[in-house]
Amino acid sequence: MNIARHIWPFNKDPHVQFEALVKPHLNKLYKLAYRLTNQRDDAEDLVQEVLLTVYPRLEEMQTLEKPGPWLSKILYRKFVDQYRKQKRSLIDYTDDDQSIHDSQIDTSLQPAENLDNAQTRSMLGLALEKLNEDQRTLIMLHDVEGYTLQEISDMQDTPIGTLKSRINRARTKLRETIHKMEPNAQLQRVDKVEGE
Amino acid sequence: MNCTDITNNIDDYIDGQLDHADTLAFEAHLSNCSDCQDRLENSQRMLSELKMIDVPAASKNFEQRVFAEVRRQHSHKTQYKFAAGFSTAIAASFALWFTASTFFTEPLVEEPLMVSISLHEVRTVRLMIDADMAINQAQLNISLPANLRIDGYPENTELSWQTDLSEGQNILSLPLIALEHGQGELVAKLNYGSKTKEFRLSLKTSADGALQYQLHEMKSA
Repeated sequence: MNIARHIWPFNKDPHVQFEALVKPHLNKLYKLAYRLTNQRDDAEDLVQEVLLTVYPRLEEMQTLEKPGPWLSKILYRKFVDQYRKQKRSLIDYTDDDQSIHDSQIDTSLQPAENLDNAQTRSMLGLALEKLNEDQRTLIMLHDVEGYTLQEISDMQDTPIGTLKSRINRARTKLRETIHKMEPNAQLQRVDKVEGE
Repeated sequence: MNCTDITNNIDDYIDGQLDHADTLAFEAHLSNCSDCQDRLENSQRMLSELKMIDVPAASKNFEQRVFAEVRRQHSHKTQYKFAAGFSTAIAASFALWFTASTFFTEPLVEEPLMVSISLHEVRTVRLMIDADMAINQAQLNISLPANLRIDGYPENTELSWQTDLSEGQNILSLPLIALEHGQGELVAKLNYGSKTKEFRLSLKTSADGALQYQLHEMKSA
């Protein structure tokens, strides 16, 4: 029987309490910050600001069964409120965004031959840069970092159904961009047909 | 489904979001269409590769640096309410003592605590153990009323284990679940060497599902 994990030193120094509470989540916060900012220095600054912001809310944090999602949400909000506004005004990102619909994959195109992993990875990096920031953020949160739709919904105050649609569109755009990067895609298909 | 349907539904299929009928239709088309098989395989590979995009490590001493900055900017002493209430009244005569609290932030008073809990809902009760010195391998025993369990231990009403205590305040966090209405006592015993400290907490669920806590008795030997 071992529930000793439920016991931990409880120093009177609130800084010790704070650090014990936050340390287990620090790496995930940094990774989230990096996914959002795409710069190590910005990510570290963002985490720093989050910690400075939440320290006065230590008692509230100690009431939480799962402080991780709470910290992630605060980090995301801080990113939106401060970092992103510095760089651009927020895009009005609605479901009927025509520019996104326009980028839907042309299903008349034949899929390329299966790509090897190195090719995919290389093209994937370039394709991610083609996404708008909201799309890239969603892909990073959901498909890269593995945040659930519910967690992202809580972070962004956006319905799950809307998020799901946006993620699907972003993936479609990624696929389309990757497809267009294959100079021999059509040729390979022709070769295949001719060889059959 | 045709090839366009497959393209439009490929992400829902990968994420397991299609209903049963659509899943069957999706797979039926897939079994006869090598193009769509390739589409699916490429999409799955893309998602697999996405998961492998790594993040560069944070700079050296990042952890120490951010916490040091928090200490620098928040150097004033924060009054921490948690230790108030029961602890001050009880602690006086004991080198070691227990106190009870919950995760709630309401001011703690020396009256029975009343906490709402629904059956089968986890509610955490915390016991504070204030040690005037570090103690290695103290024995902790927890005895629960028949209607309560600690989350993760559905079969046990008695739990016992050894743990080290740091000098100062240590918190034992007990995530309790009421399986059915009832009442009884949670008894926590701390043994080390020839010394024993005992803490009892009355617990009962009310008709409306509220779990009532009452500090009942403390003994030391």
